[in-house]
Amino acid sequence: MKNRFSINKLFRTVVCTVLAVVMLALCACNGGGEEQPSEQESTLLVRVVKAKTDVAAGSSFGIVSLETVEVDAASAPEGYLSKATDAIGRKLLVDVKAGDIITDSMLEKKTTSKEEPEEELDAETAKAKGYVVVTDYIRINARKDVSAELQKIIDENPNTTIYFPDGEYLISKPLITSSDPAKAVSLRLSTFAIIKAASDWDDANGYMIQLGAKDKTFTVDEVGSNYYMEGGCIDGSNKARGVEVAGGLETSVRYVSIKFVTQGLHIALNDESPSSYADIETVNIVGCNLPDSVGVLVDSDGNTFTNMRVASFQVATKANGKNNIFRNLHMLFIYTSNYDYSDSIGFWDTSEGNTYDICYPDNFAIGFRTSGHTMSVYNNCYAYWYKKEEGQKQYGFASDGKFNSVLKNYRVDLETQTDGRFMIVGEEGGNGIVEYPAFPVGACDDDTYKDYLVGKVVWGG
Amino acid sequence: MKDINANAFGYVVVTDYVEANTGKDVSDELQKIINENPHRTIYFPDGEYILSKPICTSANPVNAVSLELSKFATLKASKDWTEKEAIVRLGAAEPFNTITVNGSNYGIIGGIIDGSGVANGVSVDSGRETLIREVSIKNTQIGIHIKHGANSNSSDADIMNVNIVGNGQPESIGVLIEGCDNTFTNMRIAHIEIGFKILAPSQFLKNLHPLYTYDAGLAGRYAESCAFWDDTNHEVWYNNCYSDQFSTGFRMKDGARLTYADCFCYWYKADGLERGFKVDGKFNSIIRDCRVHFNRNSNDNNAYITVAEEGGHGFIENPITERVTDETYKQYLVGRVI
Repeated sequence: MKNRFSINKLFRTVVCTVLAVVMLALCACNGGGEEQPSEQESTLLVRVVKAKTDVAAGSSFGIVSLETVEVDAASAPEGYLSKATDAIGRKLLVDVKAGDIITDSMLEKKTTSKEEPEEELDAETAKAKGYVVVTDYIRINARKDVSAELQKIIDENPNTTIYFPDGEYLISKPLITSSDPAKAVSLRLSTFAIIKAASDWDDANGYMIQLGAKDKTFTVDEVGSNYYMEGGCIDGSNKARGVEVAGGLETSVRYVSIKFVTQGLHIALNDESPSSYADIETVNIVGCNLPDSVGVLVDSDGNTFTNMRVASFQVATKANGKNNIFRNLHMLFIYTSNYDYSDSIGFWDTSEGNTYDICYPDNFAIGFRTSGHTMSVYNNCYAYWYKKEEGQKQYGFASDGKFNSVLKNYRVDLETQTDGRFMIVGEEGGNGIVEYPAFPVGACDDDTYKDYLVGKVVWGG
Repeated sequence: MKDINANAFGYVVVTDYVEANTGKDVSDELQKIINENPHRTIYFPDGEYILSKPICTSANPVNAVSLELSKFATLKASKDWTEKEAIVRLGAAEPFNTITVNGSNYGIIGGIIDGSGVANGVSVDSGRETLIREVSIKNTQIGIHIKHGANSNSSDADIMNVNIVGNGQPESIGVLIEGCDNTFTNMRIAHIEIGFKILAPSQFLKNLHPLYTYDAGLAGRYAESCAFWDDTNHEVWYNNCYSDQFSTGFRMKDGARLTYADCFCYWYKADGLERGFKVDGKFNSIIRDCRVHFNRNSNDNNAYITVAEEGGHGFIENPITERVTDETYKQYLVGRVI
């Protein structure tokens, strides 16, 4: 989100002086001064330095517009300036004026007509509701690390659904669930429930959410094996990895938004079971454009991936496991100075074989890449480039060795001015076929596809 | 049975502010709740909520809300509805284009949207990653309208498990698509003249079943009916899509480069021309393993495919059909008729 306030380094120097004056004035007016909020009561966020006099105080909403307030960035602890500006932008603060000290407790104030009494935290009430609602145990938007509390809730409530209401939950350590069906939980997040990596997140922690990482069990024969994670947002703060299916079978991850992660989603391989049988659907992932980053990393077998959008990774999907099904996946390349476009790959398959149905690499240098022994099926896939530059590498398909896969109705939108190839191979030969490909033959700089062609080139003009 | 209190889930529950089932217009009150609770899930308990104008949400993720309706929560257009827009307009309040801010994946889940025979149901006016799922849309002129997309015409919306019943009037449409890069999965549509009308490329349609029903309002217009009317040039994929009783199953424009796989056309009643595929010019698409099952009484009035102009680069592989009288399909046949 944009910081809409002008923050001027020189201004900060002046501000400190002004603040001192303002604070002294306040102290005089209040006959002894307004006490700074204690750490126990609330946390200082920012001091309002200046507000225009035309703030609509006393209006029905008491909203302060963004343009009327300036805040002292230097006074704000890390991360809080954006919280304050965000809160002001979201009209959660009222009647802000010069000298005001905005605390986190003020940000909870809403302008709805009905004041909701603050409910006491009551674990027994929570259990009676069916779900375990985390805000019956911890405060929402606490702005401090709640990983230990959340982990305790998970550990102490086996075979329940743990529910996260809208709001932000900072974690400095991963949340780990059990894959023992007798101890498993499901995590259900409201749409605006955001589990966010705290500022001290260490990459050595691994993924933020590790499903089935404890008590690793691989069975479908017991009730409780089909736990899931659903909804909400996992925010990696540009330093953490997102979600991992670490153990178990039949895990489901659905309707989750994963953002600002160094690596997106990982389906791990376990010695006890090469197959995970996980089902991932309607999960959208945004990375942070790091070199060697992977959006969806699949190390195990037998999983399904449906209706996903993935952006801002160097490699959108890497499949090291086999017998996976990828359907309706739209991978988008975003230009960045962090890595070279020519190293980008939409779908990279190093396994013995997977199935890709209606998969769409959008602006990657290589749409689909396989190893020499891969025997995958690509059905009705589509490679497109929204940016078309002179000499730009645009490879629809690349095999590191011989070509042994099946490409059916693969459409590749090459452009004449680019270095466009329908396909390239590292070694001639192989048993693969290219059936009714669709691409402009005149824009293709290589005839390799002809060695594998069945039928004809559709739309070859 | 345990009583689950929606307030316990941190939702903003609309019945804390308005009453359901009053028969009175609550559109202003609902809009106020939406405006004053950014970044929240707005929950509608079972009951009827009358609206005389649309409710609009923001596409700015910071101000966005998600609408979650209980199974029997109904947002219903009032009797005097005159608006041209949909009852629920997602992203209309504040157009925005981003996926890099938490909260961009808002949407509407659950419940019933009742157009009272005059209104449109739900529209995606702006935003990215908008989700519409498990919603029942009834009595609408247009069930879902995906407008011109926020990101260079990409809407990036995902629609799934949504059933639509139209108002059975001329030019009624189940889903009207004007933005790109959307997915549509598991939908049933009935009481409309056109099931899907697609005006922008790059769509993925899977497991969709529009059904033609003989509504009084459509009398004499059977020949206009079409399950999937595609007016784009390229990049629409149809997989397991099922035209049920429409005069034309799949219609495409001159030279369009589309892909149809494992689709199905069926007629339970013989009532005029039964046409699997209709091309408004040259045929340039791919049809694979598509079944066209004519009614046994259609006799000389059926065609697997008709084209307005000979030629084109398209092909029809392994069509599954019988009793077809028009032989146009043979020009494009690959494999054999099954």
